[in-house]
Amino acid sequence: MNKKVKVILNVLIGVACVFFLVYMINMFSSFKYRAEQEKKKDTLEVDISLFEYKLRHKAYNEILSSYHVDRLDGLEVPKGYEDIFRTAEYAHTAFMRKIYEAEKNEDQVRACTERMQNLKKDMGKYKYTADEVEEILRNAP
Amino acid sequence: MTCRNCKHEIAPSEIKCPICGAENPFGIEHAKNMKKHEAAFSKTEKDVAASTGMVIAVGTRAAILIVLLIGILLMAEIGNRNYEDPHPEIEVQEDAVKNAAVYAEQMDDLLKNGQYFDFMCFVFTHDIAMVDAPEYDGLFPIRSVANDYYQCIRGLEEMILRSTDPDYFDGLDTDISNFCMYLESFLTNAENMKSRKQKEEYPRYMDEMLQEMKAALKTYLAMDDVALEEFLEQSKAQKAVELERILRHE
Repeated sequence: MNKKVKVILNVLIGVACVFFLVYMINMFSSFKYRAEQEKKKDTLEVDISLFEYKLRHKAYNEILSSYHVDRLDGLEVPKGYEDIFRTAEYAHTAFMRKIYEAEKNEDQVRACTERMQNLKKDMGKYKYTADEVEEILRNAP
Repeated sequence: MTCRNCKHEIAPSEIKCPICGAENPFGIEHAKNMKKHEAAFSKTEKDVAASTGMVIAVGTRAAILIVLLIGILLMAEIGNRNYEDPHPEIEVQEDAVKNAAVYAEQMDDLLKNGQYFDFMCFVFTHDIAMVDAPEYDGLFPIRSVANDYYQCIRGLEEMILRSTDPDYFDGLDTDISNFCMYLESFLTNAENMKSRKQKEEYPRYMDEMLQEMKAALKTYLAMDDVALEEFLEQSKAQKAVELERILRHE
């Protein structure tokens, strides 16, 4: 009887050893995956340089496009992306203000103007983008 | 006891009398019994040792197995946690169900203030379209129209604010195509969705979105009322051609 138990336990230990190895490999792969994900998350530098490249070409459409996509993940501004979000939000608000002006929706025009002023105050070295956006909108289409 | 022969006092275990040398039958019997008991004791001792060894061997194996199983469970848990999505959709949706009353109120406020674009951002961010809660009942028609409105505004915004630098990628054709698709959908939905079961103020919001869209088109495509109505009457392909003509200044 005891011998049978011993044999059964030996078989179970063998099977458990195989699973142990499989799960160990899986665990080490997961550490690698996690490290890669962390690395991917840290794309701030690349995003900033891309943003400046787009600004050099006045490609506000692409700045807005990224902004709208990023906003789908949450309404809060991610750390380090303040300048990008401010520029995009200014462009969007300026765009909407012109529509409200055409509609003669005074409340919305006032709200947009106030928002634009507040954004412009914090724009720092990117303040010139506000003028560029307004000029493009003024000359549209 | 005493020796049968010399009556001298002897111990019961003595085989012979130490004085006269006569045999002690009781002592002989005793010695035989002792041999038998010693053999039985030795056998029992061996059996006990063997059984203890077996128990130790089984116990060791069981302990190894338990350690292996605990290791497997731990590694499986660590692996799962590392592969976990940091922003799982399911959590966003659970949050939308949990805070349904608050979110429904916030969405109503956005609609009341005419912030249809922000309303749609809110819907997307909280995955409201994928959630089933009584607070969101009847939201489908306004959400459907607001989605087209959102896509149209985004499209128009990106077409107007695109780079005119000849050295930069020009995706205007694709943008025009997408815009025309959403505009068609918006114009159809803004009419058809009014008859759906919904809150009584929603059709009014749909009208406001339509007026806002018309204002946007007039403002950014430099159209008067007549030109706008003609433009809206055109087919999708004709609209695309007209948009390309306006936006490329052809």
